[in-house]
Amino acid sequence: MGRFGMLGLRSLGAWVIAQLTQLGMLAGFYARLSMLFWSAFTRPRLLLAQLHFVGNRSLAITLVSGLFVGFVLGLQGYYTLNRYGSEEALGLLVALSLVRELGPVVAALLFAGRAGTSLTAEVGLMKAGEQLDAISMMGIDPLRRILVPRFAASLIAMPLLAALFSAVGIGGGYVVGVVLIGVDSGAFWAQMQSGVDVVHDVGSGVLKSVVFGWICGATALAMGWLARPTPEGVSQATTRAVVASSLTVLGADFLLTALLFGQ
Amino acid sequence: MTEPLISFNDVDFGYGQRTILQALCFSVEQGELLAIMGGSGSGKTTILRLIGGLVRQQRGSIRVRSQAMESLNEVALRALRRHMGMLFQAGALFTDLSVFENVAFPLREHTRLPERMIRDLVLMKLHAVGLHAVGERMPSELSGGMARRVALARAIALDPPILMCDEPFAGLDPISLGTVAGLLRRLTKSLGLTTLLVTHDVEESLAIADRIILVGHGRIMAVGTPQAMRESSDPFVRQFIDGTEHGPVPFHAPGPKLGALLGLERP
Repeated sequence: MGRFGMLGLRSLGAWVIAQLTQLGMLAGFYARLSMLFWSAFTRPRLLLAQLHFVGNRSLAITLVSGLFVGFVLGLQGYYTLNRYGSEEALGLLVALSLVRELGPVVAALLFAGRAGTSLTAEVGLMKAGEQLDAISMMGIDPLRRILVPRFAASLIAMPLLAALFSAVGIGGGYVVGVVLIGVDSGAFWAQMQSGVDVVHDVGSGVLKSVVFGWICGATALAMGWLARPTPEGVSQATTRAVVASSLTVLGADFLLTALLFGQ
Repeated sequence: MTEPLISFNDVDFGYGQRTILQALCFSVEQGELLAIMGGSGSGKTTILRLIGGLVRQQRGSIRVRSQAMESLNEVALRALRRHMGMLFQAGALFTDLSVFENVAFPLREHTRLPERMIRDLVLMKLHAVGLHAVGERMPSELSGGMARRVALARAIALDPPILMCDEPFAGLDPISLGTVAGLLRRLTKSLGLTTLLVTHDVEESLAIADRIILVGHGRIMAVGTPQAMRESSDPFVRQFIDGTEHGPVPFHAPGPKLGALLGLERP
């Protein structure tokens, strides 16, 4: 093997070691964060403040997006079902689409963009400004004091936001389908009531949104925690957090759908 | 003979291939006010971070309050840090909390004192640094010097036996500088604290420190009382005390000459 071959091999080896080290650090971080989850409830005021920060402030974008997704579902669903003369199933189509898939997934993507970026930037800037070191020097664990309440708030807020997204979306589908187009109101609700299984459909949606909350919260915090303590480092970490959260949510959605709804 | 409160024994520290400190040996006695001085990038702040356990040495032993830092786990390290207060170079105030809440933070986290007592204690600490009237302000509304004074009030909130200050005099006006220097001296002597100052302020350090350590090239270049430093004929000490460009410490960072970079002379 020539000199260049050896250099290439050495670079590849260094890259693999760096990636494995990073992966190990992430795994350790996720494990510690998850293990400390329950400790968030020992400081309810901190948890409530973070619930307000990550949940309440994501509410407007979630509700507005849910409404428009519901409008589109109502319209597209009607056009498709009308071809087969089964427009009375519109309520069922809208509800299942939202509760099983679109509610948890779109709410999670919005959460990653709205609250996730805030979390990454906040933690990254705290690191850059030596605030995390200052907390450590006070004999306080910054993971437990700063990160865990934010992580727990993400985990709690995500299913609630997904539920609100789905509820508003169903309202949007009703407005377009029933109020504007004229689908029978009784059929809209009756089909939904008979076709949506609370445990299987709604339960699956809730489970998905809890998993997505874990992914979005933990990824956003990890990116901030591991960010280089410079303005560029924080900026890159914020971008990385959105990309990583979104892709992981979409990948996890496929796996969960296959597991939960597979025959 | 009692063990020193802090001792470094043959300590090496670096980032990757870059050595910052090597074979560092010194100790700090209980109740001492020690000034650590040296050029920029000489590793002064790193010494404080090593004592606080924020970074770990690659070789050698550091003992603080009779405990070897390298053998402490996270829990033991946190317990030890409760006996330390640290003023960071940029203040490191929590930007989402008011001045009052910043100083109250360690009190709220480590004690179960009633709110009224916390209020009184915070006001007293802020009064000590001359800022009891700005408790409601946010850190973004303070000047650099004021922020550093608030950070000092926060560092002494729990009356820690060990106080470490990184550039406590930077950005202070002459009145504040004199007051803060006097406060550090008073705290050390009246409360029996052990104080470590990292500073560039030669005059103030000579005025308040019991002992001065001069760090350069990753090593301790000189140790002595302010009087000994003033009278020293060591070229390194003289250059630092007199603040001259010419001496063993070059003003310019090592590298090619400017003339070579401008193409006026051969490298």
